[in-house]
Amino acid sequence: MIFKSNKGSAAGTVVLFAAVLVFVIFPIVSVVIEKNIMLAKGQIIKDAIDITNIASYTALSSSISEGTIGVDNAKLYSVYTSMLAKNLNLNDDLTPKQNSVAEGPVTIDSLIVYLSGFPLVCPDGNTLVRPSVHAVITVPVKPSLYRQVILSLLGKQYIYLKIHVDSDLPLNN
Amino acid sequence: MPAKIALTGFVIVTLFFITVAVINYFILLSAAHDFNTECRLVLLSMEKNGGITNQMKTELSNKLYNKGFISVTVNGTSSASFGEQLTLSVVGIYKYKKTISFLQSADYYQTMTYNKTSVSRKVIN
Repeated sequence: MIFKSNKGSAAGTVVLFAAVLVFVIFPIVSVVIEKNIMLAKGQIIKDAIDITNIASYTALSSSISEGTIGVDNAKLYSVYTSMLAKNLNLNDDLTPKQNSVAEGPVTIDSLIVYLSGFPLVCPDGNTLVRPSVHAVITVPVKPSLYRQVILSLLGKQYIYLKIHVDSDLPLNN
Repeated sequence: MPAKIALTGFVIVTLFFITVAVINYFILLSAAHDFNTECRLVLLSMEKNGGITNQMKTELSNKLYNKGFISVTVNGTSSASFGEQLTLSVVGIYKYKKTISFLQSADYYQTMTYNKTSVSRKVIN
């Protein structure tokens, strides 16, 4: 009787361990890895937006006679879109090319150039003290591992990474 | 009793195996982060200096070799005046160990690329 009880206990432990492995350890490891992949992707996108923000100073127009600096909005959007497409490996309409970190069409939610009136606060709460570009870009990315399965079950395809970057403009070279 | 010892051993080995696999994964993520950071620093220098020099290429390659990359190719715009676009393109191959089965790992090679475009800030009078 005691021998039988011991055997049952060993089998129960195996089942318990397998259950812990599948339902606790694997999901936790998967979530941690997934989170880090998302952070890495977010950092790559943030760098690309920062480079693009800084490059958009070429859309500034200066009037030496009046001593003022202004923004050519049409040029700003054109320069910004073209640089963003190059740095995130996108087509001209901001849809992704092969090997792009983006998995769907990228959208520019907000693009504002601040040239005066400092200090001021951008719409997302950062305090700006120098001429700066404020940009908010939404980039759809696909998760991997368990999260992809959960998203599919919810009928969704992407996770939308909303990246906010404020960059100082290099006005005084 | 022998069954319990064997089971405990199996549990310990399995957990060790999972831990090693996860650590291997994070080493690769860390290498990718280092790769992007080093390349970004060079691109910032390029913006200021108006291009990449051979010395900057060598320094970048050496830094990446020291971080475990076995092959590095650096290409970039060598001269751009104020307002002109400059591009930095880096391809690196990183060698790492990946757990392929129980208690077995093999060498794997991950190709990483950095391809970014910025605008020169160097004023050439």
